Amino acid sequence: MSFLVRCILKESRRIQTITVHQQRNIKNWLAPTLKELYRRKEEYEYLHGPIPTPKRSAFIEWNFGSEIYAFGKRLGENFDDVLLRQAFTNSDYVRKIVEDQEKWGLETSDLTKNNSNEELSKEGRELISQYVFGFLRHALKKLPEEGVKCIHDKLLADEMLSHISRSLGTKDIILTTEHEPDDKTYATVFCAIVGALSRSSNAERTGGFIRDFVLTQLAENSISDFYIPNKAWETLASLIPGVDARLANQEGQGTIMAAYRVAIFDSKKNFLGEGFGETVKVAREMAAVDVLNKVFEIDESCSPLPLGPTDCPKIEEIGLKMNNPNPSINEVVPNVVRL
Amino acid sequence: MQNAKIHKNHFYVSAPLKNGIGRYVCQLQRVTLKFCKTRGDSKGIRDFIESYLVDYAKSNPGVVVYLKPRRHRPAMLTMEFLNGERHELSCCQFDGFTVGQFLNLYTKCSGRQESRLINVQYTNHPSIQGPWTPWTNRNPEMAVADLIHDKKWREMYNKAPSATEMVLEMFKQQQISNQIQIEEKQAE
Repeated sequence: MSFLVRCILKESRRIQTITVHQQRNIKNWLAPTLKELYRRKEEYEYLHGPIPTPKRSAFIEWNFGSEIYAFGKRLGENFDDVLLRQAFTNSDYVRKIVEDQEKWGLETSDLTKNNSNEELSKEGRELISQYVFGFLRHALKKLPEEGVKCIHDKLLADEMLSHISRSLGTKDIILTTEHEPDDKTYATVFCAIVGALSRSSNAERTGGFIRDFVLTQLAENSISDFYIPNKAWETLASLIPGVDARLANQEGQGTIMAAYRVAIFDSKKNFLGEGFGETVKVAREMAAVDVLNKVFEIDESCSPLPLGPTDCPKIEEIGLKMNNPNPSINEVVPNVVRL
Repeated sequence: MQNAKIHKNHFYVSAPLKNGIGRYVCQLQRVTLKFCKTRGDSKGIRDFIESYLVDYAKSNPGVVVYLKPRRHRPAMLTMEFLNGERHELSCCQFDGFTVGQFLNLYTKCSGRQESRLINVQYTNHPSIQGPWTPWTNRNPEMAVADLIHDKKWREMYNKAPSATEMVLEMFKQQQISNQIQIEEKQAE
């Protein structure tokens, strides 16, 4: 362009008749065009629903094989390629392929039919469940089985597993007919990945994988956030004879800022725990929760879970605890609190 | 900084998926190098592809690298992260080494959207001793103390003498002055 202008200027100097004006104006067409495009988009969305975001796998720069390979390498595991592909193949996707092939009169091989991740997922979920139970029972020896079960259920909930699955980058790789995979699909795929890992490597690596991605979700949080004993005061009163709750302090009674502090003592007037609340009843309940947390060794001063690569328990130690439940709350409390 | 920007996209420092507590997972999942085969300003990225790209791909097997030649279009790096974010960097007129440096930078990024850090440190447990309450560091004796009648507490919390004490004091003064008057009378 500038070359052209220069030529014209040179010519103009010679001929002395042409004058060139270079102008930089506000483009009057720009705003109306954008407004029109916006209006058309709004109109389309009003009639046909929102325009879905394009799927990454539909782009030209997409190689499923590379994505699968990189997925395994990113997590530092050596997956069997066929198994990992199967783990990402959701059952509705397989169903659709089979339907399509029937529609065109093609024969579907058994390999395609059995290629969904359902079986792997079931296997993986069982493995995660067992390892989480084993780890929690090993790391929190004083926590009764009710608490272990509660934390286990929160870790294996679809929301938690889908959060983990999403954060590992499964979103674009999952083969499914849904445009946006839902929580259940994400969770199924994550479990299937664990299943695929257990088939392609040993139990120790699978355990490490579950510890590094599932159990680390407990880190940075207090265990007592995941498990709050139900009806703590009733439990405590029924299990420890002579337990006594006393109003230790109160402030601002009769106002909306009222605060009460209740302390709990055993029959020999030994201090067990304390709690605060906006009413005496709430404060007593909180105090009982405090006592139980101290008994279960999940209070704020407890040591962090052994999640690091050096201090984590070995797979044999966890294996011992997998089918060996902790004692229930009715057995733990009377044994620990000395009367 | 504008006021509007202060309230936009702010966050506390945190790692995605507790990254690093278990094992480290590289957050960059794929990178697309878009370049032109003829344009002069794509020379740097072409050099990078020729000399360094294979080494980069070998040392980072978890990152999928795509090359996308486009005729007469500017050179771009498109980075996609595990959290679904997509960062773009125009690398017109970069030399090969600079492209590599930027790629290294993005390999180590968390991929969070560019936003304002509220504080350089963050904790879920701001206090080790627990939150302050009206009863923190208070003398346990205070729970059953009689602040009005017990002399020990009254001296500590209420320095002014009570009405009873004032009356007693007045009575004592009266007694003394009476005594003096009596003594003066006897002396006369």
